[in-house]
Amino acid sequence: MEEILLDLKNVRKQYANFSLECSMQVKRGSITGLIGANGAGKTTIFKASLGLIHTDGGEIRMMGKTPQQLTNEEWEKIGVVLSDATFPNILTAEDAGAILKKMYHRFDKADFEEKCRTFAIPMNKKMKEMSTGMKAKLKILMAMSHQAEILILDEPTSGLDVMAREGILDALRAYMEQEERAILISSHISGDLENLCDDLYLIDQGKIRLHEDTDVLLDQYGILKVTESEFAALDKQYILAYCKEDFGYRCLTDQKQYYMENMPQIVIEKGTIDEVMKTMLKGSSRKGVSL
Amino acid sequence: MRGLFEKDIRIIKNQKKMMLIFAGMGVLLLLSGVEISFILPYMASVMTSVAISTISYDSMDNGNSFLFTLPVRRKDYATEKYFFVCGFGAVSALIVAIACGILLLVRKSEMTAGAFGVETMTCLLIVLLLADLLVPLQIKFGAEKSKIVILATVGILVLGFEIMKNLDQYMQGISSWGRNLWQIISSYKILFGIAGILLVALLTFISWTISCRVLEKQEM
Repeated sequence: MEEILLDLKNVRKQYANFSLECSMQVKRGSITGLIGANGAGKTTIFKASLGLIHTDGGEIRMMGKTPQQLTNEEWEKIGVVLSDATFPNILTAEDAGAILKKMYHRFDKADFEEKCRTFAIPMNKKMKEMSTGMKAKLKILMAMSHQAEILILDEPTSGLDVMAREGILDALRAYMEQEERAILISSHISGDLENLCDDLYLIDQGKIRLHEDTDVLLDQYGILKVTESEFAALDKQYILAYCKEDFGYRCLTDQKQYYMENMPQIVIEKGTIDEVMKTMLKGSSRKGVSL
Repeated sequence: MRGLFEKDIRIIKNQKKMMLIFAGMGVLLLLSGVEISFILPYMASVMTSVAISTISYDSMDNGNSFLFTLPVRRKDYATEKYFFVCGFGAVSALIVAIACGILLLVRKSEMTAGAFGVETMTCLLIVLLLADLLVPLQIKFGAEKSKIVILATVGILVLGFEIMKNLDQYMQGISSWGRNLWQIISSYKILFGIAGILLVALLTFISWTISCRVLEKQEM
């Protein structure tokens, strides 16, 4: 069994006003999160991984093969949710179940219908008549109902209320109880990723700006809020990025403990995904910048 | 491909109102005394267009992006479309032909069984030619852009069918070379018939190849 289920190496894609250049991996047994602003390149990465778009360079391996080399049997091991696409909207959930039964050998129709009932998805309503939340839930259930080894989920919780999101996230956690599986998930809702993912990639303008284990990010990363004079005197060897604020500077560090011990007077906040993203994307990164 | 057939059948099944309208239209045409030689190709063309419309449904709202994340290769999609469109069109044509045949018997028409058979066979060829032309067009350009072409094609094919029906008169009337040519064709009907079928088969293969290439290059 391959350890790395999805491997992107120096993948490049050029559009008129945007270019993607990134490397990332999704390992068996882990939930990998991909977070970034709108237009950062998340969907481009998903589409490239699934062979929906051609790339201009680099290498993509899904279960050890390029998307074009995968057989239909190997495609059955992949479950996908795309943020803005599903079956023709004239079809119902019942139609979707019947179609998937004929496409996937391991599709469990009874389980799919049971889950639809649990998540209050009407079986005989056309998808164009469903609410955004119903469609979102249906898409996730379709991806999860054929024992896929890897789930590729692009904004799966978009449009869901808090309770529905929690239900879906619980379902994904239960899905991962079988250790040979993996999930790649993108979301705007950082709270979802914090509680779910084992590691996170932060993408901005087509480039991966950060990759870190979630535990490490939440435990060791911090936001230093310092005045101008404090910033001037600050030991900057562990500063990853900084940006100017009204009060002085906001600095991102991956060694919160060092600053807590050596500069106890400065304000240090917990590094949440939102704060990390805000500082990295808004500010200047230390790399290449003289501090 | 079984899943793709299931999908397309269900897309059409979910358009009950439209299908009832077409069925009603067919019945009206049959009862209103319109020539059967018009009704057959017309209804076959309409039903083939309905089958082709599944391509628009697939691509609506980025649907193709989702479809190609399922265990469906692009070549499989193209192949299934041809089988589905031709199969649906052919079955519809045969149903209309049976209805027309019953009507001819009731009306004690002078049309021979052989002539009726030729009309039905030509109708099936029309279905195939429609699929050969319209499937790659819809895949490449989508429903909106190919609408004008679809309407023009249905019109040309129906007109072509009318001409074919009276071909011997036209050919005789054109010139001496037309008469000579028609004599040759009439003498070797079976041979030309087989050549015609092979030509249509070749056109279908070319059309399928074009559809596959268009799909392979498309970014979803």
